[in-house]
Amino acid sequence: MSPSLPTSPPVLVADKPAVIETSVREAARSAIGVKGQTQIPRWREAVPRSGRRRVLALGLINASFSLPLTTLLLLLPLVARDTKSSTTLYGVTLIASAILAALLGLPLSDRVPPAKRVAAAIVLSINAALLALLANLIPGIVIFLVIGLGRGTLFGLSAPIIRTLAFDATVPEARARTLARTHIGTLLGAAAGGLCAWLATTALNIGVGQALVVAGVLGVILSLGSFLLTDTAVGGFEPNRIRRALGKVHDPVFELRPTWAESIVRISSIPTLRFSLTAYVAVGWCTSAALIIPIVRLAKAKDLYISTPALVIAISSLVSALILLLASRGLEKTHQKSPEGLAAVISLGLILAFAGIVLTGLLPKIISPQLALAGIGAYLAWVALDITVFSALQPEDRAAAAGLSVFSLIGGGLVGLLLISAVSALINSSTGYVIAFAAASLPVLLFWRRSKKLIRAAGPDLDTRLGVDEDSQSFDEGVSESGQAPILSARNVDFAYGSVQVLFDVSMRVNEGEMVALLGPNGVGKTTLLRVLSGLEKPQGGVVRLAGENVTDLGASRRVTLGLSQIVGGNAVFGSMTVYENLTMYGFSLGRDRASVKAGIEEAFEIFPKIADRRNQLGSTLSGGEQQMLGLSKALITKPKVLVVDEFSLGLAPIVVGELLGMVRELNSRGTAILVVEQSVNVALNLVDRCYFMEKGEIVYEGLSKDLLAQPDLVQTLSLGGVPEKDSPSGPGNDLSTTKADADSKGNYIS
Amino acid sequence: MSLSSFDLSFANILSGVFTGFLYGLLSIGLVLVYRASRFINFAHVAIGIFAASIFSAVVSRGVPYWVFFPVGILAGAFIASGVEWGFVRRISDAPRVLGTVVTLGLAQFLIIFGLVVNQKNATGRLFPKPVLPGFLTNVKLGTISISPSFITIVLLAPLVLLALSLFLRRSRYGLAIRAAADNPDAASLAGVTASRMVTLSWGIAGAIAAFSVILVYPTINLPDADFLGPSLLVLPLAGAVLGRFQNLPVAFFSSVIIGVVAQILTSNQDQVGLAQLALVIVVFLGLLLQPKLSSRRDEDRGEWNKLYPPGLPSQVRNLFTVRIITPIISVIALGATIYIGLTVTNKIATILTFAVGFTIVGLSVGVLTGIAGQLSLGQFAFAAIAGTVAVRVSASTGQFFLGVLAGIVAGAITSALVGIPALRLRGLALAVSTLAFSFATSAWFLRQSFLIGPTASGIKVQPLEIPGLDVDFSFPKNYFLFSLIFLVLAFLVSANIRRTGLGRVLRALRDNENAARAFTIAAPKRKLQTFAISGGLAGLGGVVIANSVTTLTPDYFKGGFSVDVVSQTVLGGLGVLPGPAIGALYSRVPQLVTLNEFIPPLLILLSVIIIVLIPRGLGGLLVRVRNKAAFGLARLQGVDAQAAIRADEGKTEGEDRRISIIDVSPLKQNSGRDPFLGIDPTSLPPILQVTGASLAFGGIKAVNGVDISVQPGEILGIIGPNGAGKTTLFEIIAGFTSPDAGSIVFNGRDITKLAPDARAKLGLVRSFQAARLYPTMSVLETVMVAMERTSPTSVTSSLLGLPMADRSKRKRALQYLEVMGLDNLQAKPVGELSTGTRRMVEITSMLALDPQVLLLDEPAGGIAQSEGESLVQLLTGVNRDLGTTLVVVEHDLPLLFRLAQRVVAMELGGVIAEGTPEAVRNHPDVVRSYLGADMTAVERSGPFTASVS
Repeated sequence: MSPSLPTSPPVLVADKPAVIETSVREAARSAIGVKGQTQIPRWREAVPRSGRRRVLALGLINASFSLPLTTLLLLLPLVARDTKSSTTLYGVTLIASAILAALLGLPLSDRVPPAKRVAAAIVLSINAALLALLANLIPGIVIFLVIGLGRGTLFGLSAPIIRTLAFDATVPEARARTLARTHIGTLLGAAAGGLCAWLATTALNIGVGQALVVAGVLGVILSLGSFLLTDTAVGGFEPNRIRRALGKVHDPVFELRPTWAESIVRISSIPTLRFSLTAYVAVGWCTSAALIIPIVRLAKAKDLYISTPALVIAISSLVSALILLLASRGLEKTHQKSPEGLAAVISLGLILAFAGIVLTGLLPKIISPQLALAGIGAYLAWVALDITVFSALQPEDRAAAAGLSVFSLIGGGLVGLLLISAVSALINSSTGYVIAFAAASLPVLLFWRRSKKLIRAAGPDLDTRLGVDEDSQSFDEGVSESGQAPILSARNVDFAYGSVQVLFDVSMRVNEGEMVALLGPNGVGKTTLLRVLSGLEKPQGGVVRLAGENVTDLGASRRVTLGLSQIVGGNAVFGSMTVYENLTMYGFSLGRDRASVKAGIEEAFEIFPKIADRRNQLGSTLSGGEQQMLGLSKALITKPKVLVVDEFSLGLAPIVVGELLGMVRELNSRGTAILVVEQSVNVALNLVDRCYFMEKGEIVYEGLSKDLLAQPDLVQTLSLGGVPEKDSPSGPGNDLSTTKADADSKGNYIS
Repeated sequence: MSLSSFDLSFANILSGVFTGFLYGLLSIGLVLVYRASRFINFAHVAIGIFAASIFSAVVSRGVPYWVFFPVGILAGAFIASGVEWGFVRRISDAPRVLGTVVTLGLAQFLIIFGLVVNQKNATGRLFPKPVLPGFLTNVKLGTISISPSFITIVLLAPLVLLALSLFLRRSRYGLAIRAAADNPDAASLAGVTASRMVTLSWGIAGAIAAFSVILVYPTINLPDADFLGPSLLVLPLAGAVLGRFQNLPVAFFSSVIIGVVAQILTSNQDQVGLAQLALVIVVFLGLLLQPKLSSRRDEDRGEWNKLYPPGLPSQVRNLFTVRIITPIISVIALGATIYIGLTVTNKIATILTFAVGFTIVGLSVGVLTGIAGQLSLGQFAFAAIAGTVAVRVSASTGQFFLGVLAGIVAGAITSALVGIPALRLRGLALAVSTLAFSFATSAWFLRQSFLIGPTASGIKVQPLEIPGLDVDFSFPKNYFLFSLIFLVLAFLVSANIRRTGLGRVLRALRDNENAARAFTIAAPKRKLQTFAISGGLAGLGGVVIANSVTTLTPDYFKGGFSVDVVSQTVLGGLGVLPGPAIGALYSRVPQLVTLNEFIPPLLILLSVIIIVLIPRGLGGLLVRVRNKAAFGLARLQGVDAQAAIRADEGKTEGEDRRISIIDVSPLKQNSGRDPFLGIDPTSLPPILQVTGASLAFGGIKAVNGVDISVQPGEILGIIGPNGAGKTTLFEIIAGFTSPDAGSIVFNGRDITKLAPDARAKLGLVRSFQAARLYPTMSVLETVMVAMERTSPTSVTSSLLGLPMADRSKRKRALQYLEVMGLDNLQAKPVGELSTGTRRMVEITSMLALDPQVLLLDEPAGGIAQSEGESLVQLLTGVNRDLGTTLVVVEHDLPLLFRLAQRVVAMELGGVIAEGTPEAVRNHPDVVRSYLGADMTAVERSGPFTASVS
């Protein structure tokens, strides 16, 4: 046990995943293929025909990338010789294309809409083949520029797309084999590309140009295989997607896709993913070390003869592909047994890659076996990493995670490359070897400490993700009468400002078209709950859903565009801006659709003529009632699915309240669900269908207005901050105080 | 000095207007950034200069001027948003001092790097000038020929202003920027990502800066990093201050006027630096005359514990082997320094002596900023004044040490004088005023004959001679070794301040000034003391530097040094004692070797990156290493680290401490007062009487003629809905807000005009919502601060590190903690406690204050429902056993009804009911104010109801 320092504040929020029942967890795990058993069905039995076709297509796409590009890279030194440019240019081209791939993949990874993934993959695949085919036509050293940019762009764009496609391609039970097989496509393509370059420079002795044409043509043929590719929806084989319960036809994942930044935030909050990114760096580093040390050696020894490296690449790729095929079944078994085992495979892969590098040092004469060993190690680690990472994430975040992993992978490779090239000058001396190996082994050491943490985190993180899905789905399905998901719901929300916990395990919901009030004395956390619902604050625990979709990690401005509109109590107005500017601002989320903003403003002026009179006055000069009217106008402009109003009647004259009530009812009759926070119980009971009472950060009572109106005593107790007695009649509403009293009687709190 | 010595010619004024335009445009950018992010971008001018350097480097290689002009402006925009996105935003939750240092560092980097990029055209004359069509090239106004730069700026500046104002008024994003600055929450809820708007406004500001610098650069004659850096920034800053960082036109036009005045003042060749002096006056007056620059939103909400390295659990800390780590390291460090001093060459020794001086001045920053949280960018000004005074006094009396003493006193006095505005202002305003002072010192004060005098002559420094010691201290090596004595002295003083009562008081003020004042700490007095002490320390540093040379000229104290020293201290770690030394080494050691021109700016950039990545600084890293070693040692001695940490968290079986029922009667003898000598307290005159208290904010009457009288020994509850004026009433009673009308009488004395700490001294103490207390201080320290009422800390004994007073305080505080069952939490920082535990700590501190009347603001806020009953029992015990009168504002009505003997209900700033809990509970007005507008009012809206349902 290594001592750690007490730096973090005490954890206030109970660990949610621990609460998930074992049976639920097992079911959820098995639904994504982690069944805890060692018997796995054969490939053909496990995967339906359509799935096998998809895998074949992805393999062909991968091959169509690797074949021409391998040939190109192997022959590029000859191009350099022919164009009398220095070999440094070759290195610069490689590095530039790698940097480009890493940087492009990072922000663009999730820009391709899910529905267009397949099309994008096909286009990119064909382009890669064409790049080699046309390279022949490019004059002089411009070829380096074109290849550097082209290869980097293609790789940066395609790697995230193809990997998420591969993850979604088949049933979860065959996920490891699916990913392994698509990688085999890459390896076979590389083998063929190497062979092509070898034949071109030896037996056939054709010029570089013709060799590139051959490789390009082969690439184009392979890329035609991409047309076999069909799409499953993003997360198509995901279990328990709420949208299925909703019976929605459109793809909500697309509509609710988090922005890239939101995904990154979510990704970085999951320990498994943080550790995995280090592993990607290590894999990239090792791979580049494994490739570069021998190739630099060869290049030095043979003075730019291409044939030997080409043959080495061809043979080692072929061997790697075969071993990967054989190992894929074992990998599948590990995957199905436990996420921890899969995480351990990552370490195994790294050790294999490292062993390959060391063997190269020990046996410099023969290289192919070592390269193959390093290759198989890297690919094993890669497959295991991809499954670990993607499984622990919501489907909509996977593209961003793929981009991030490509960035880490290439970044690690580049660091390794630079470090090793720096010592490659010494490569012929024995010290050079030692230093190069030291550099190559750094990432293994770097990852060593993290690997244990990764193995420990993999299981719980997976369960957290699955648990949240399962748990909230059952909640949403269970309570709603119509069987529809509520338009807005909170489940087990905990929230603290710093170390001051304000919300304790709050669950509530607003159904479609419903009017709900949140009642209770001030200071009990009503406003805070609204801030969590609208995304102004991020809860420490629990899930917020909008129309059934998890929006917990989406920022406030995103939720606005998704149909949630909130009016901050007493502070909805931009004081330094005129009324008209305020209204224009409210329409910000409509984008450049000025016409509907204008129409909304006109409507607001019609309904609230008082505001129209003051359209050029500063917001801060309005009276309280006028400010609230101005705030409510927002709903007329944005036409939200659900409108949340904080401190609805606070400080307003009854006549004004009456006016606003009419306006809210009108909005509701147009189909907008309403949630109001109100201190005045009477006003609320007259307006809404259902009420929640809050006390000290917890919901203590829930009931229908009509039942409450019949029980004035209960209403008075609740509104003065009391909690009704256990045996008080609570009508058909759920009296949550019962469970709370139970908790108290167990003596959990009193020390 | 007469008017005739100033150049009042039309040409001169015109050129003043010209530079004024530059300052105006720059100040607009500063205001824009401030409005969007409540942050002063000290790198603002540097961004413009860097963009201009790129522009010049490209254009001078043959790219047409107007083709690349927009690119240069875009470059400014990109750099500015990059600074915001990449640096400032990363540390937005740390104290502002970090952000200030980061932008100052980036400013240095950008300027030096810009000079490197644009070496060829660094002087203004060679900088590319705008190419204008023929009829505009040779314009003459009377006899004065107008340069193309001027024509362009006169033509384009209004266009820029117009475009900016149109953008902010009309465009979607302009509105969004204003909305996000005005009300970030509401803006987010309208679909605006507020943080993106901040980046956008930084970008716009950067573009304007690039625009103006590119046009004006050709007229700047002598570029050096010091001139281009902060000193060029001070003028637009002054304009922005006059515009209150709010008003764009005011900021622009005051800058123009400042430009003209500065031009006229600098035209007087006999009086160098008058312009800077005038600026200081403008800034000081501007800051002091405005109603209040720092509204609630401007307060530094950063968390100081971000700057403090974590401590060790007490079980580990108290091990002998662990306790001696720091002394051993200090001795080794000192020994190594002496050894170096004995071996190095004189040239290196000179540099090292400067490092010693910088370290001592850095220690003064450590005290003022690191402990007291006041950001001063003028420490080297005090050092310079002190150094000069010391040299002069030594020379005239022949007494070296008398000079040293005089220097320290001079530094202390100047610092205290400059600190006076800080009593009203906090944070950035102080930074601006001290920065201005710093430049006025190097440009004007030092050049006056009563200090150093003009640069050329300088003053002869009397070499140090110690009678009976045959050492020639004019050798830099020997002087370096001698200066180490001062260094050790300065370290001792800083360590004492950190360790003892004064440091505790200052940290309390920094963490939470209001709570500290409620704990009887006299804020103004303590702050002035701090300024004086840190000024004295800085003075000592200045003395060391001034005496290390043979002839002292003003150039030894550059204006920019003040900024450097703060950056160094932050880099070394504001929260650790050796931080300044580490920072000084980082910046001085590279001077020992000749470096490639690219290295110095990169070192600055590196230091900025370190600050962003490790806010605790390099010293914080050292502490981490030390902690690791301590844990290792502890393990060798069989102390389990995890168990030690748990023991300090007071966790048993994973449960946090909660509010518990405690018999407080053992504390009675501490209070030494039998509450009512057996007399029925109800027959006594009221202990607290509020008569006709009223206060209005804007048009809203928050408190409206409230009369409340409190009997000794009673528990009075105050209830009311949100906005009823309860908390405002508390503020008035405790003295944090003064009422428009009405009086407060406590114990028969009218205290309406007294400051909160004075009221607390009399025994009227208030608590705050959420019991924030002092997040970085330990539980024990918090209780010890509460003892300031009975035994205030003496500055002298603190500086000397005398332990007696602290020891007895600690003992008494521990007694309190023991009774309250908090003794095992004594070393835990308050910020890491749960609300309930913090409430317990607060109550303990309140008891230690030994008040007669305790005003409790929402004591049950944020604690679990189940703890409420314990709280009631505890407070009842305090009231019964200690005789403390309680006035309680609380939302939890059932709890309050159980606790209070009498309840006052408020609504809309007035009292609506008063009496026993039962009576108030059933009072129709109370029922109405909680149940809301009565049915009829709602039903008046009948038509609406009918139409829909």
